[in-house]
Amino acid sequence: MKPNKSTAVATWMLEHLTFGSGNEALSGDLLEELHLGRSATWYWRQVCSAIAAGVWSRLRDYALPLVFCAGWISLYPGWRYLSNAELAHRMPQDWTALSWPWSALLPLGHGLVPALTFVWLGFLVYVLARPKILNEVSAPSLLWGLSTSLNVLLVSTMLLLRHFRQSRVDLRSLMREDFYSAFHLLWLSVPLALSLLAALSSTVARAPRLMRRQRLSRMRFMGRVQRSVQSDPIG
Amino acid sequence: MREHTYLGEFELMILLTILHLGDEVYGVPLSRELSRLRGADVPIGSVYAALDRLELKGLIASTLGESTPERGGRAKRYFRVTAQGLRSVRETRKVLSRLWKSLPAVREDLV
Repeated sequence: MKPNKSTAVATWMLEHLTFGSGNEALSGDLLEELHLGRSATWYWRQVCSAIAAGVWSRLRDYALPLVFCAGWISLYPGWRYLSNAELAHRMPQDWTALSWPWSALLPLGHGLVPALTFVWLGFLVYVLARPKILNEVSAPSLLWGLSTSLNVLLVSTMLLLRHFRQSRVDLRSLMREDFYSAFHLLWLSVPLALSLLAALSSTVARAPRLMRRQRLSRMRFMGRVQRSVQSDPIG
Repeated sequence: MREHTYLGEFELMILLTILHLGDEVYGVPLSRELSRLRGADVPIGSVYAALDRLELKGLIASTLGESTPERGGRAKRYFRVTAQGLRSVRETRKVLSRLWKSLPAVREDLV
C-alpha cells in the first residue's frame, strides 16, 4: 500500500509523540513495510503500539521518584509537628511588632524552613538509599537538585498564597501548623511534592544513563546532518 | 565482584536474532525474523524499545545507514552485537543450561 493522508498523520504522530531516540529509523521501517504491502490498519496499530512503548519506557524512569515523593510527603504532618515544637520557643512572642522586613521574613522563614528541610531530607534519603545514583552523580548535580527544589518550593508556595488571597489566607498562614499538612489541606502538600520531584528529576536527569541516552540522540542527529551534507550536490 | 547484565527473554531473543542475521540487520528484517520465530506478529515499536535498552546497556551498537525512497528518505539503523553483548549471551546460556540440567528426571515432559 502507498502512503496516504491517514498514514501521513500516523507518521507525524510517531515522529512527534514518541520519546525514543530512533524515531526516524522506526518510521522509515514502518513506511518500508507499508510499501511492501502492509495495510493502513496495520500501520496505525504499529504506530499506536510504538507511542505506548515510548511513553511506558519514559514513565519507568520517573516511576520510582514519583512513588517516593507521594510516600515521603505523607510523612510531613509528623515532621511539622516535631519541628513546630522545636521552633515555637525560638519565635518572638510578638513578631508583628517587629519592623519590616523582619515582620514579613519571620513567618516566611518559620513556614518555609521546616518544609524545605523536609524536602531536602527526602532528597538525601532517596539518593543515599540508591548508592548507584550517588556514585554516578557529581556534587554540583546534587547542589543543583537542592537549589531547584528551593526555587520550586518558593514559586509554588507564592502561587498558592496568591490563589488563596481571596479566601483570606495570607503570609501569616505559613506559620500555621497545618499549612503544609496533607490531612487538613491536602492539596497544599502539592508545593512540597513538586519541590521534591523537581530535585529528584533534575538530579536523575544528570545521571549517566540518561546522559548516555541524550548523547546517543545527539550522535544520531549529527549523523543525519553529516549525511545531508554529503548528499547535497552543491557541497 | 563482577557485575552481571541480566537479560530478559525478549532482549535475549533480539540479541540471538541479530547474531543469526549477521551484520546488515535493521528493524524490518529483525522484526520479521522475530515474528517468524515466535509465530506471532511482533510490534516494531516494542523491538525498538528493547533495542534502545540494549544499546544503553552497551550490549549492542547501532549506526545510521542509507535512506531509500520507499522509506520516505529516512535512514536505516543497523545493529550489531558488541563484545559485552556476546559475553552476556554466553553467560545467560550457561545459566539457562545449568537450570535445565538441574531439572529432575521425572519432569522430562518439560524439556
